[in-house]
Amino acid sequence: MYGLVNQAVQGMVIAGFGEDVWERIKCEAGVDVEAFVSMESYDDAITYSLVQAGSAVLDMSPEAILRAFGEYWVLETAAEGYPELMRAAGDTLPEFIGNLDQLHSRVLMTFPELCPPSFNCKEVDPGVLRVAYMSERVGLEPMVIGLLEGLGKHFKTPIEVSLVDAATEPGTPAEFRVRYGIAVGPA
Amino acid sequence: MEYALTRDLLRAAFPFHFVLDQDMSLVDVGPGLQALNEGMTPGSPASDWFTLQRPAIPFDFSSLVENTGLAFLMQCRAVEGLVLRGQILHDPDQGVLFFLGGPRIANFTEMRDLGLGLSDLPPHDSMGDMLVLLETKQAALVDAQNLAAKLTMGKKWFQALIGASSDVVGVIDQSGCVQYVSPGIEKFRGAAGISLVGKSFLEWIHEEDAAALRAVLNDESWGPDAGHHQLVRLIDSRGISRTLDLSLRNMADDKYVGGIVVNLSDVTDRLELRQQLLQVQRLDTLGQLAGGIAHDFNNLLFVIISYAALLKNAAKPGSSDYDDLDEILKAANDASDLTRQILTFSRKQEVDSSTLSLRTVIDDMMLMLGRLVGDQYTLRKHTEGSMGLTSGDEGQLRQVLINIVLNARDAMPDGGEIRIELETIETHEEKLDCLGSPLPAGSYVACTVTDRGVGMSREVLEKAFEPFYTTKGRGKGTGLGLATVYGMVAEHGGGIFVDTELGRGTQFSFWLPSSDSTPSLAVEPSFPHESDKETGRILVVDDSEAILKVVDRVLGARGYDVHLESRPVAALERVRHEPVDLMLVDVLMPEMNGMQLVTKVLALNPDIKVLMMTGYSSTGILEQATEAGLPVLWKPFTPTALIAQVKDVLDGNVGQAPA
Ligand code: HEM
Repeated sequence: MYGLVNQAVQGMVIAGFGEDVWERIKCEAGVDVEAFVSMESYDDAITYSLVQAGSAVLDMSPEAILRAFGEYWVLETAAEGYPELMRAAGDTLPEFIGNLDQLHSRVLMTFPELCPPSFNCKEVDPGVLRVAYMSERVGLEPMVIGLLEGLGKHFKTPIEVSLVDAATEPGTPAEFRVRYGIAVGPA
Repeated sequence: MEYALTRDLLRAAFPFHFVLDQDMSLVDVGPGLQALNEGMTPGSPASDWFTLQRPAIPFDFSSLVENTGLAFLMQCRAVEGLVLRGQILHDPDQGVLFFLGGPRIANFTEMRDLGLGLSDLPPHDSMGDMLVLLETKQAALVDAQNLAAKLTMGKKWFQALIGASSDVVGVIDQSGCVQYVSPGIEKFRGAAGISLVGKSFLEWIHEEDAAALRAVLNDESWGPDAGHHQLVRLIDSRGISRTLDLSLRNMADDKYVGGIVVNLSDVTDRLELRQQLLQVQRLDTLGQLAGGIAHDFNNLLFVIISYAALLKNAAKPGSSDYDDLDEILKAANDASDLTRQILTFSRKQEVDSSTLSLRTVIDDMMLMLGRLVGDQYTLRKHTEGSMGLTSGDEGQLRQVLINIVLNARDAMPDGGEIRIELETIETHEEKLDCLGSPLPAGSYVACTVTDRGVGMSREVLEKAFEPFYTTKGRGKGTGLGLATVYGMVAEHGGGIFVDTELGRGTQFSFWLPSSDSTPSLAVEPSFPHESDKETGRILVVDDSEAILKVVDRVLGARGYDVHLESRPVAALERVRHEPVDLMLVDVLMPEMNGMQLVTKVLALNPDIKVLMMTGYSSTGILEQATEAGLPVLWKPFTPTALIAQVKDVLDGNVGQAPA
């Protein structure tokens, strides 16, 4: 993954737990990189071992870390680093999700080794989306949940995301059900 | 095979296109443009909607046809700020011109201002890619700035840390060439660390030390991570010789350090201090030794004085025996004075403050001071001007005087005159002493010691009062040092004044607050008359037979019933079986010390009175005795003092706490 992603992991840990914890996680992960360069492509294994080590050091499940990371990615990395791109990609949640492939294909020009995800979004009922997610990587569904939840916050709409179907192997779609724009919580 | 792009496909591929006929009227308009301005409909003149910015040609059909190869910029008048960039294609068959292009946008903000989104651009339009690239560039810039700030912070942090350290850290290569050295080096080299890079470290230090270091650096077996430790000497930037504790670690293979790490810490003062501590310890041992000898001397003197006094008492005044005995007594008393002075050093005296006459103290000490300074020196005293009445601890004041006189002696290695003067000084305003401590206005006794020696420079004087400072060579430092002297004087509420000039000598004065009460003069009572006979059973316990005998003589002559024991155990046995009114006990004895014996005796018979005798103590026994309220008689005592004290204790005038 590009340094941008690892940088975001770093940013999230430091913001939440401080520099020392980040150093401990890096040490635990055996990652000897003082600073990630956003536009340099790193081995996916680095990102995965950071998540693994974070899980051990912070005593959180890897899923919880991925989910928190998804939200951090939208609200901090994307919103802070790419505010204009975020705005240009759509004004509503479904429009934005529908444009995610466009967005990543534009990003591809800058990050030529990008291995972007693909999203497909259908409004099955008013306020209910069926989001298909396809990737060459496996196991990132918890992150996608966090990403979608982050988008809910970004568009200031209540949101409830559930995983309908996880991907079994690379290139097969996972499916999420997204209820948004309505009051959620106990009926 | 010929293909034609249908109108729908054209609209999808170029949402911002338009078509013109020969009259320069709009034939068709792309959906993107139409969405921006619905009035832009076919049939209306192109010049109502567009202004040609580039190329600079007339906006008419034939001019456009002639320049179809160029890039065209069209300002769209209907939408503020919208400029279309594209090309003109001519279809001669249909007699129309096509403008194919899209909005020229510099960044996403502009795009948004135009009311456009990412999805309004056709996928083949690379404008969107460029905008992402630009935004990434912006993000990367911020990134780089953050990194630079972090780097600066790390560097500053490191510099502050290493700058605050009293040690010097550096990196050298195998040949001793400096690659890095921390700023602390400035105090040794007088130059900033950066200017020393590339210079040879080995050249700064003493040749012998450099040779030893070179041997280590050249040793092939001294490999990665190996360490080394040694002391090195160098001359610092002020020309002062310093000793540094050097340690090396070979980190030549470390990819970050790539050299040999040197750590230097200045141990000059520590070594000096250790040397001086040894000196103090030696002095202390010497003091104890002297004290031990003085103790034995005291016992002997006591015997001499006692017998001489007894004989003199029996002799006829005016007879030659009487005069001879008087001389013996004087000499013995002088000797006794000397031992007392020696004991001043060895005995830990309690600071007891009483009114005393500094004049008497000085007069008293002249003999010993003369011996101390030696034959090459003449001691002159001028104490007539003042009685020197002050309140203080005689033992401490003696030490102060001794130290100042010894300093004066040391300032004149070839001998000379040392003057001791005493005067009373009245000041009407506060005075600051040599260390800047204020002395309030009032009356002071000032004792001044003057020499015509080497004097002191300002720097030496400034350092002279630091603990353990000495200008004398190793092993030559005498006494306690001026810091201790100053401490003692200050404890008495006084101060020190120094007037010195290099080559001219030094005048050293210590001032003590005057006291107006009269000193407790030790008046030697006359030898009691034979006829004043006393009664009482006295048990004397001392391991010295000579003492026992003389005490027996003195007290026996007074009519006391005296019993002697040289062993504490035997004394205890006696107390068990015989009545005893008073026990006179030596403090230091083998088998059982005086205090232990007293405790046991009082447990058997709490009514027995006790008087302790001692000539020497650095032990805690004496403190225990004083704590228990037991009276103590200091050796050597005169027969008179013994008789008087025994009588006082028996009469209950000087008592002991009930056991
Ligand atoms: C506007 C800013 C965004 C930028 C610049 C961006 C860029 C990237 C980059 C560089 C990667 C790493 C892929 C690689 O290195 O191979 C990535 C991955 C990913 N992005 Fe985005 N992204 C953005 C927004 C989003 C949003 C809002 C979503 C929300 C759903 C999203 C979903 C994903 C997912 C799920 C992946 C993981 C890749 C995978 O599944 O294999 N991205 N993105």
